[in-house]
Amino acid sequence: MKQVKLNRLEALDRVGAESLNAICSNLSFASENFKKIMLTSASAREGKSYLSVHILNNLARRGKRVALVDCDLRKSDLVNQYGVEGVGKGLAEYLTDGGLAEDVVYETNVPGAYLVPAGAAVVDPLPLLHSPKFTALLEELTAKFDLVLIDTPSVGLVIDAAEIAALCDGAVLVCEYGKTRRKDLAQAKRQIEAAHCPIIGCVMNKVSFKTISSKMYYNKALYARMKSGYYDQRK
Amino acid sequence: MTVQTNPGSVQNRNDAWQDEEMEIDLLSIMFRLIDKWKIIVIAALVGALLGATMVIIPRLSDKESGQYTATAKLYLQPTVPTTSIIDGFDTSLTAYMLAECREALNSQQVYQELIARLGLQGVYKYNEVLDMVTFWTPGNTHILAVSGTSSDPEEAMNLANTFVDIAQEVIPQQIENIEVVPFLRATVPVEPAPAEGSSSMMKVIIGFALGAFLVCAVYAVLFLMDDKVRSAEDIEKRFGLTVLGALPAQVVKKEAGK
Repeated sequence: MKQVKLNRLEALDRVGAESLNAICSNLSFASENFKKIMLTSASAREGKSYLSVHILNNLARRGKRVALVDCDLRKSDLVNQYGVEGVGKGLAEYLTDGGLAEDVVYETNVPGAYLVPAGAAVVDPLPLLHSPKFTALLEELTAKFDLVLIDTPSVGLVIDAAEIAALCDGAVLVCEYGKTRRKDLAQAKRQIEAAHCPIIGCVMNKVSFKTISSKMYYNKALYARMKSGYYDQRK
Repeated sequence: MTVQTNPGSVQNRNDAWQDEEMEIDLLSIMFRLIDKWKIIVIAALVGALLGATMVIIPRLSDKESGQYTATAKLYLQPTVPTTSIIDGFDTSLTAYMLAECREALNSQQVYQELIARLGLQGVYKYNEVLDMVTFWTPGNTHILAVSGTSSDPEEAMNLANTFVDIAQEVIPQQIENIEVVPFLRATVPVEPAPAEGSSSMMKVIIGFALGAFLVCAVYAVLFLMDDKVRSAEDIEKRFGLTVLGALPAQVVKKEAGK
């Protein structure tokens, strides 16, 4: 299997790492029933790829075999964003040119974490996403891995995510604190539900812990203990 | 007839939900205001500054009422021996007597006599004279202070002194066991009284509170108009979605996965 290196996978700070642990644990509990989980959002740049890569990393470090499929065939930035080194063919090439699934599934430098990059940008990816090859690829990955994460474009921007949702067992909606509009989130939810894909849950991203209101809402106790050095004590 | 409501009815559940929603909104507004405490304090200080400016500007322009005030005083001495009476009872007795004195002076005969002695018939109406004379007990004393107010300083003095003279005659006639002793005669006031208005400190306090209130109101309106997702409760209640977690905005610490 070909190998790639994630050069810019940044470690989260302690609060972020604990929050990610909580998210991944909740996903692990859900993954007994959901093998193919898509991550989408209501609008662009809310942190889908960021969350996908970190979930991949986190679950792989727990000993799970996890594959991340980058399905943003129109405008993927994952390879550049995380400095993925050694990428050849991607999903787009596999769906257009044919070949073996092994050609586009890359083993990363994180043991247990595998990546299917998006490949070259495609203007109209809908026919590709409708193709039996895509369905077959997802089934093959599901059989080989404990969990398949599918990073999709924003459901509020293009219909690709809704098409992919129809093939997934569950969806995670990513929304950005203080940016995602309620009406956009409601629209995204309706669109995913229309594809008969159950929504596992929602992840709030880029939460600012600087404000009192956010401290009150999110992991207040954890935040306070982290900041006070509670977990720094060594007996 | 009493109307009984089913605790589990849809209407009741809706009402409960609305009550809960209102409570959460108020709590959220409070947190948002706490987040903005610095701006609120600045606005309050600006308000206080404006209040202080409103105090200073009239003083700079030397705004005066044009009215002169002269004050005379009487000492009201109870003739009942109070040495054997406990202090609390003495105090209440004095207060009672002073109230009686004020009531005795607050009569039409007294003011008519004042008008007659000063020859103010036809000059002022009866109600105007009522406004020109005020009397009160300063603090917890036996003193009765009488102020005369007029645009003519001499008239102000005469009003105060003549009223005191009348009081010296009326009080012993109407109230027993009290002796009226002249304490202070009014003199001709030199400067007119300052213009009336709320006190300087009050204006500053009002400015402070008004500044803070206005900014709070603006933030509350902005909060209510805000359509953005800001809490897990918001997502759970409005969309019925489970929130798997909240990822904080990250500060990159180190490279990993190498």
